[in-house]
Order: sequence, then C-alpha cells, then structure tokens
Amino acid sequence: MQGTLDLLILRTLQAGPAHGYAIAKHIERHSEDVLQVEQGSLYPALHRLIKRGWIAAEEGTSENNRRAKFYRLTAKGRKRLAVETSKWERLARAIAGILNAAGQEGES
Amino acid sequence: MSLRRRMEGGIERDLRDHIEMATEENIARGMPPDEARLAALRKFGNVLRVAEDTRAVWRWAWAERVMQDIRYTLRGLRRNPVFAAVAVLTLALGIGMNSAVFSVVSTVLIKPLPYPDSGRIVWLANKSKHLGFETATAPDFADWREQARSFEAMAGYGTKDSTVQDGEQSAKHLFVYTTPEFWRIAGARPALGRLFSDRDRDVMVLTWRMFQHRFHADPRAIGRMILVDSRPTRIIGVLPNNFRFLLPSAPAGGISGEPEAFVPNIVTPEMLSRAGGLVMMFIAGKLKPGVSVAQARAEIQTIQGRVAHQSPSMKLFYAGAELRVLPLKEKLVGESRHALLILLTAVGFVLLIACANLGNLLLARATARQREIAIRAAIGAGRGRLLRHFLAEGLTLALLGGAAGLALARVADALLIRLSPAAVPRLGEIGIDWRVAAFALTISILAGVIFGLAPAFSFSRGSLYSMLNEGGRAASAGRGGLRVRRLLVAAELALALVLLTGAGLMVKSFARMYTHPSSFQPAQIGMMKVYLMGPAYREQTVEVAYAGRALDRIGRIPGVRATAVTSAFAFGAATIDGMSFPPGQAPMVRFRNASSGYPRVIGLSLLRGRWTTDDETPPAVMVNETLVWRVFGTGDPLGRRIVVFGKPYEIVGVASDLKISRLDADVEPEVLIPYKYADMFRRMDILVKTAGDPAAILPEVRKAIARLDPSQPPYGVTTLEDALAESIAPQRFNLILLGTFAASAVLLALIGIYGVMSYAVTQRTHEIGVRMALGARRSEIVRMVVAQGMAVAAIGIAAGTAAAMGLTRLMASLLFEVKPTDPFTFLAAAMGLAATSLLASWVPARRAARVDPLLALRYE
Repeated sequence: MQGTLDLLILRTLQAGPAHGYAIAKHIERHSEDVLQVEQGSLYPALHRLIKRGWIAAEEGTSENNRRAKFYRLTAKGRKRLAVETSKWERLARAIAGILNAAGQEGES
Repeated sequence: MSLRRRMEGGIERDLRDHIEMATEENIARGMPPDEARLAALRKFGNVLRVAEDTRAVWRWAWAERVMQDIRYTLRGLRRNPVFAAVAVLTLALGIGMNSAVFSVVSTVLIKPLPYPDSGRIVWLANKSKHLGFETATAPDFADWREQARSFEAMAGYGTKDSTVQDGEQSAKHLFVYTTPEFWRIAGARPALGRLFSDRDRDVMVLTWRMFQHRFHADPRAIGRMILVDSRPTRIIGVLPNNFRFLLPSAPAGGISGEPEAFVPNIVTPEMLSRAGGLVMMFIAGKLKPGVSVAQARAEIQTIQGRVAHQSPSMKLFYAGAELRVLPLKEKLVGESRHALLILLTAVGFVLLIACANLGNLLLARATARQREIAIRAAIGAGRGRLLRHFLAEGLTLALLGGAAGLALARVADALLIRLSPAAVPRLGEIGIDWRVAAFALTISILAGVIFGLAPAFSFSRGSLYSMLNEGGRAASAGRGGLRVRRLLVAAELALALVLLTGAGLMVKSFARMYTHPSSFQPAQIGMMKVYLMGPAYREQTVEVAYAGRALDRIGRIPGVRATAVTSAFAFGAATIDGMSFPPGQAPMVRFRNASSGYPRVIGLSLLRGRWTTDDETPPAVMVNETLVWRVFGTGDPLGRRIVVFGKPYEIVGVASDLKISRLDADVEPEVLIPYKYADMFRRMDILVKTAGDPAAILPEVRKAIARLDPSQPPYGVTTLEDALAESIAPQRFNLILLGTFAASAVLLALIGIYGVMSYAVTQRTHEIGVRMALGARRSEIVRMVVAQGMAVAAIGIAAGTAAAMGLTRLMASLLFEVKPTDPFTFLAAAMGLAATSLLASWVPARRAARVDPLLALRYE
C-alpha cells in the first residue's frame, strides 16, 4: 500500500515539520496498528516524496537536542494532500454506502 | 550539489539517527541497552536493504541492473573469445546483409523522390496493350496541357544522344529536351546562370557533372556558344550538384546513365497538328494540391475522348491503348518492387538462420554453464533475474553484431553500386542513413531477444536443483536443450534449402538466357555507334557512302576478322504479298538494315536459300527462323514478297535465330534488309569481330572512324558481351544477391548441424566409450552419429522442399524459361544440401570414433 503510506506521511507532516523517527511513531500511534510496516520502509517513501517535490528535508535539532533531518510539507505537497484526502473521503463514503446498503438488505 | 546527490549522501546517517533515537527511547522505558538496540533494529527492518531501496528511489534502477548484466556478459565473452567471435561474426553477417538490402529497399521504395512535393508528380502516357510500350504524341501533350485543370504544370520531354562540338573537341552526350515546365515540376534552381523559359531557342543548361568534366567548372562557360548537333547553342546555366533527373525515358542510343545537359523541347505548330505525322514524347505533370491521381486520370480520359479521333494516323494505336496516369515514383520503381521484396524476404531468412545458430550456440553454452547458473539460482537469483541475464547476453551480442553488421552494410552498399548501377533505379543513392540505422537497431534487438530467450526457456522446468545435484553432466535440461537444438538446425536447413532452390532457379534462368549457338561469340565482337548529324548528312546516298567508307577503313585494321554496319530501325506489322491477316492480328516484326558482313560477324547460319549481298537487284531480303514460323508456319517463305514501308522485297534466304539485343526476351521475328535500301541510314551500330580480345583493337577502330569525319564522334564503345550483360543487369543483380544469401544460408546451416553433432558427440563420450568397450566397432559408431545428423537433415530437407514448393511461385516473374517448380533444380538443391550435411556430420562422427574407451569411461 505505497500510496497509503505516502498519504499518511503527508498527513503527519501537515501538523508541522518532523524527523523520521517522529513520523514513524506518529503513524504507528494513529493508524491503530492497522499498518504494521517496518519503520525502515518509511525512508524509501520519504525520498520518493522528496523526489516528487511534495516534501522537503532540512537539518534541525530534535527535542532532546540531537542533530536530525527534519521533513516538512511543501506548498505542492499541501495541494496534493488536499486532493488525495478528498479522494480518500469519497472512496470511504462510497465503500461505507455499499456496506450499509448490504447490511440493510440483510436485515429486511 | 544536486538534490539527488544530497539526499543519497545522508541516507546511512539518517537511518543510524533513527535507530539511535529508538534505542534511547527504549532505554528510557527501562530496557537494558543491548536489548533496547536489538528491539529498535527489529522494528526498523533490514538496514542495508532499506538503504539500498532508498537509494534506488534516486536511480534509474532498471538501467543500472541492465548495465550490471551487460558488464557480466562482456566479462563472460572476454573469457571465451572464440564463442564471442563466432557469435558476433554470424550476427554481423545476418544483420549486415539485411541492412544492405534494406538500404536499397529504403532508397528505392520508401525514400521520397528528391523533388519538392514529389508525391504530386505523375507520369502520363498511352500504353499499347498489344506491344507494351508507353508513349504520347506532341498533340496529346498540347491538348492535355491546355485543357486539363488538375495540373499545376505539365512538361513534354525526351532524351537524345547529341553531339557537342566545342572547338576541335566533339563528343556524344546524353541530353534531355524538355518544355520549361519541367523546372517547375522538379523544383529546380540554377547553381549558376539561369534556366530556360518558353522564349528561349538554341540554349542549353548543363548538369554540374558536365560543367565539371567538360568545362572544368569554369564560370566563364556561361554565355559561351558551342555546337550541339551542329547548331550553335548558348550555355545559359548550370544545375546544382545534387540535382537528379529521374523521369523515365527510353534508352537513347548507346549512352546509359544520367543525362548531362538540358535543351528546350520546342513544340512547333506543325508538330501539334493531329493531321500530320507523329512526334513522340514523354509527359510528366504536377497535380494541384488536393487533386487525386484518379481524378486527373478521369479528366485526361475525357479530354482524350474528345480529341483522339482527330488523329487519323494514330487511330489504330489509340484503339489498342489505355491511358496511364501514374505517380512518378510508382512508374519508376513499380517494376523493381516485387524483386526487392523477394530479396528482402530471402535475406530475412538468412537472419533467421543466423539467429537459430546463435540460439544454438547460447543453448550449448548455457548447458556448459549449468553449474554456474544453478549456483546463481541457489544463492538467490530469481527466475526473473536469470531471464534478464540471458536477455542481456542476447542483446549484448546482438548489438555488437549489429554494429559490426552496419559496418559490413556500408561495404556491401559500395559493392552493390559498383556491381550494377543500372540494375535498380536510384541504386546510386543508397547508403547508411538514419532509416537503415534504425532498421539495424530494431532487428538487432529483435534478434537478441529471440535467441537470448531460447536458453532461458530450456531452464524453465525447475530443473536447476537437479542440475546442481548431477554436477552439470547430461542433466534433463541438457537433453531437452538438445532436442530444441536439433529442431533449430532442421529449421535452418529448411530455410537454407528454400534459398538454395530459389538461387538454383535463377542460375538455371541465366543458363537459359545465355544459351547461344557456338558460332555466336559475343566476347569477340566489339561495337560502337555513330549517329550522323548536321547539314552534311541530309541525303541517303551520303549516309550510305559514309558507312561504306567506314567498313572499308575498319576492314584494313590488322586483327579484324569481319565487320558490319547495322541498324534495327523499326518494328511493325508484317505485310506479305498475297497473305492477309485479321485486323490487329498481323505478326509484329523487326526490320533491320545490315551490310553483307553482318551474318559472319555475329555468327548466323544459313538454313535455306542464300545469303544476300550488298547490291541486290531486284531488292531482296533474308528473314529469320522465328519470322518464318510466325508468318508462314510450315509454308515455304522463299520467293514470297514482304513489304517494308511500301517497298516490296523478295525473300531469298532464311537465317538462324539469334538474340543479340536482349537476353531476357524471346527472339523477335526479323527481316534483314541490305543497308543500301535504307530510306535513311544515320544511326548505325558498327560491329567488329576480332581474333582476340576486342578491347585491344577497339581504340584503333574508334580512331579510324573519328578520322572519317571528326564532327561525327563514335560513342557507346563496348563489346557485345558487355552490352548483353547490361540488358539483364536487373536479373544479374537479383541472381548475385540471391546467390550470396543462399551461400551464406547454407554455410550457416552447415555450421549449425556441425555444432549440434559435435555437441551431441561430446555429451555422449561416456556412452560411446561404453559401447566401444562392449565391442562396438568404430565404423558402427561413425554410422550411428552420421545417421543421427542425417535424420535432422532429412527433416530439414523435407520441410524445406515443401516450403520451397510454395514460395518459389512468388518469384515466377524473375525467372526465364524455367518453371518455379522445376524438378531438376529442386532435386539438385536437396541433393547438394544433403551431401554437405553428410560431410558436416561426418567430421564429428569421426571424432566420436576416435574416442579411447578407457579415457571415455573415466570421463565422469
């Protein structure tokens, strides 16, 4: 689910710049462990997003004063996120609609 | 620093930072440091792979892996130079020949003519259904040009051999006479001076070549007056170097090749009168944009319907003629297309055979490398990886072969142009351009994929592990591979046989064309032409006297055994006193004027009656066998009277048939008329039969004739043998190419069968050793191996004969007096291939028989 991971990264960075470990933890915490990915697989995804220009990387210092690479959303990435989010929501609504309809038929 | 470089550089550090942060957090949660680090690593996954995958984001990873495969292949090839050389040479041969033939096809059939909007240029003529020739008359031209609305421009043109006299020097050159619209049709611009228009008279435009050769590229030549056919003519311009005259034209006199100068075609009012005589010319036109050829043809047809009846003298011709309006390119190359496509197919067969051979070689190599491949598979190379490796190997070889092939094609193109420039229209323009390069690249890649995949599939049945177990000896993949290889060789032999049969049919056609009686020795007959021009030659008696003096002079040159003048001046319906033919059914006969030496020069023999002399009173002629047969059947021609242009002649002799103008046609019925009866004797062939090589004497003959009248230079000096060879230049071109392809195909197929049998023998060394240890004799071993080879050959030959039966039919139009299914040729080709196959499998069989049983049994 490459696209999903990309979307989750973008979503995470919407709150503000973060370093790799923070992104990994955030995704783990908020995806209710649905996405049991190895943390390492985050990095090819990050680099892919940088290559597409949706996020950028810069040096910074972490909360406990360590030097680390911080990733932030670019304007282009923000637009992309809006598009992808609405797509997801449409899809989710559609799936929910179908599932609900099927459930009601079963009840009647 | 580029983004890519910056991002790739920091990967390891970023991953390390990540893991350290996770470790620190685990420690903070109370884990011991070692465990904390392990947990972090576990959660992270394979660090090296992540680093690699991340880096791959920045690369064109696919290309990189291919490069790796190519490097691997090249290393393998360097370790095995003989294999590499054989493979690359085989491919170079296949791809080179294909590229060379394609360069011809591309230039002749695909490349547009070198004129702007050349697709709109058409060629117009009335084609006689009876005689096959195409022509138009001056009144046709005038009416069409004036009335047709479909054309932007229309030009009437023709070619002629003109004498150019510049001071003392005089020589013949091929001239184009054309109405000025030609410049517009061809989009021509002068390099120097100007081109002629409607108002110009007695002017000429030079080609760049004539400007260089005759006038040393001196710009002062513009404006100079020279004599063209004894008329003072002013040079007004020069065409650029790259200008080509490609319109079809009847061969003029003895001058072949491209025309050298252009003069105006003056269409006078007398010429335009439909009531008068017939001035023939060719017509080319340029369609207006958006007008189709069919529309133009319909329009001309309508016009012709209105005006044709006004030409009483052309009534018969028009009645049996159909109007032709063809795209110029179609007219030029239409006749070559069929032969070229056959050649392209044939050379494609050679490439297929080369590919099959390569596939074979790679299969053998793959079998020899079973262990290596099995190990690669065992340490984690997936099927896809191995497939890609084989593909890379195939493609690397194919591209190397393709590059060498292109170099070969360059040489081949040069040879083809040298071989016979006149054989195919526009052959002189061939060369390696982007089209040919693209073609070579495409077939290289295709070939590489095809023979690269062959070994990959032989490993498809999950046999890799068993291979590793069996230690690389005669494993199942090897056996399967051998079966595939035998099939490939059988296919090669079949293809080679098709080509061999095709070439055999051409050879037989050639033998038929060259069937001459022994009295005819064209290699000992020299010939040249004279075309008497100018005010001094307006009287028949002067012309005949000139010819008489020429014969006298030449006869005195030592080494000349016989000499004659002749002129085949007309072709028409036979008219015999006391015989009548249904309208349009009279046999067409050739009328030839000749001096009495003619039969002796060319070697005619007398069948009935007597020879004619130079002074026959009353007028008498001879006829040839074919004429007797066509006109009189089994009747007696002697004493009958034949009418030639209104004058009756008595037939006093019958001579044997002889083909002296074209080899690829049947003998024409011919009437031999003493030259002194000619109405006009300006254009003549002078024939000289010599004791030895005519080349030694011809210069002297030429000088002697030139001395008779320096203003009438002899030209078209050649031997009859060369002239005849020229008449079948296209056929010779086809024969040489097809013969080369067939020879290459047979050679490759034999290498194929030899390779497979050698391989089979090597593989069975152990078994052969056992057989010999158990008492098999050497001759039995030889027989066994040869029988196996011949079994493959038999399948190939049977399939090839069947395929040839179907395919040679397509080349019927290239053959002469030979049926496409000629049993003799089929048998000879099959036997020849069988015999050479026998030899190719006998050599490895001998090697098998020399196996030392002791050594062989130890060969584990």
